[in-house]
Amino acid sequence: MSALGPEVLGRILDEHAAALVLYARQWCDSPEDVVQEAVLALVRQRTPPAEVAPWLFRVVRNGAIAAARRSGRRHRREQAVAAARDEWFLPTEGDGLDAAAASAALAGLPLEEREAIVARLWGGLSFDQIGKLSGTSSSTAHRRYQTGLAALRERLGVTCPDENPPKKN
Amino acid sequence: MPGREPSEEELNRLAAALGGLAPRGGLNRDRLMYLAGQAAAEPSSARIGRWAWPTGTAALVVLSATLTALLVLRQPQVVVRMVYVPAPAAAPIEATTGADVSLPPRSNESPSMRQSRDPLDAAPRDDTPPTLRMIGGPPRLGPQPTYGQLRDAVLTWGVDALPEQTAATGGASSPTAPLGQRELLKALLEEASPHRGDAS
Repeated sequence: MSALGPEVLGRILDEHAAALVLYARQWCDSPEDVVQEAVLALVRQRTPPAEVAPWLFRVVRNGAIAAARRSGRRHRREQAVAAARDEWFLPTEGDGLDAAAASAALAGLPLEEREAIVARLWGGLSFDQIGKLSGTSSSTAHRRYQTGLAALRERLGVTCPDENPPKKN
Repeated sequence: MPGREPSEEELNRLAAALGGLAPRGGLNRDRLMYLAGQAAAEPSSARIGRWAWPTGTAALVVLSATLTALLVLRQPQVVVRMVYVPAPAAAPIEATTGADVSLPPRSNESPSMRQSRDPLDAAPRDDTPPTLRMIGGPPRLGPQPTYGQLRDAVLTWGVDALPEQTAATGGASSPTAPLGQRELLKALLEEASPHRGDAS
C-alpha cells in the first residue's frame, strides 16, 4: 500500500506534472510516458522520499535519458527539438512573452543550460538540488543558469534600458 | 547593446517573465490517478511473486549443476556385503524310493545324535533348512537298496554312504549270497566230482 494519499498525489501532480513533462522533453520524444512511470514509481515506494520534487526530477531525468537511448534517435531528437518547440508552452495572452519565441529561444540553448533553467524556473528546484541532479556543484548549476538566461535575453531581443542614455539636444 | 553584461535584476525580470509561461502538460491526470491507485493497491506479494519463479528456477539450476558435478566427480565406492543364499534342496532320497532307508547305528553315536542325522526323523521338523538337514550324515539305506538309491547316495555323500560290507556279506551263509571267484571255482569242482572229495 502506498504511503501517499490521493490528495497528496493530486497536489504533487498539479504542482510538478507540467514541469516534469517539460523537463523530460529535453531528452526524449515521449515525456508523458516517462513522467507517468516516475509517478507510479513514487506511488510504489513504501517510504516516500523526504523531498518529493527532486526525487521525481531525478527519476524523470534517468527515465528520459534511458528512453532516448532505447529509441536510438537522440541525435535526431536534438534536430527535431526546434521543430517541436511550439508545443513546449501554452499560448500566452496579454503582454507576456511570446510562447513560441520563448520555446525557440530555449530550444537553441545547450542542453546543460536548458536543463538548469527548466529545473529552476518551472521545477522550483534550488541550485544545490540542480547540481545534485546533474552531477555538478551548485555553483556550476548557478553559472549555467545565468549563462542560459543571458543567452535567452539576447535571443528574445529583450533590451535593457541604457543606464546612461545619450542626451538629446 | 549585446556587449554589455546584463545585471542581476534584468535577469530576474526575464526569469519572472519566462516563469509566467505555462508548460504544456499533456498528461491525463485522471488516468494517471487511476493507475496510481491501481499500483498502490497492488500487494507487495505480487511484486515478490514476479521474482519467485525466476529465483526458484535459478536455484534449481544451480542445485542440478552441483549434483551433476558431484555425480561425475565422485569416486566409485566398493561395498562388501555378505549374502547368504540357501542352496537348492536336494531331492530327498526317501521320497524317490519309498523304501525303508535306514543307516545302521554307529557304535559311538548317542541316540540324540542318531536322531538328528536321521533324515526320516528330521523330515517332520521342517524348521531346519534342507542344507543343514543334509549335513547330518548319509541316509540309511535298506538291506536291498536299488541302483538309483545307491547312485544318489554315492553322488551325494560319497562312497561312505554305501552300506557296510558286513551288511552285504553278513548273509554269506544264505544260499543267495554271491561268492568269490575262488570259492565259486571250488564249488564247481566239487559239484563236478562229488566222489573226489570222498576219495581224498
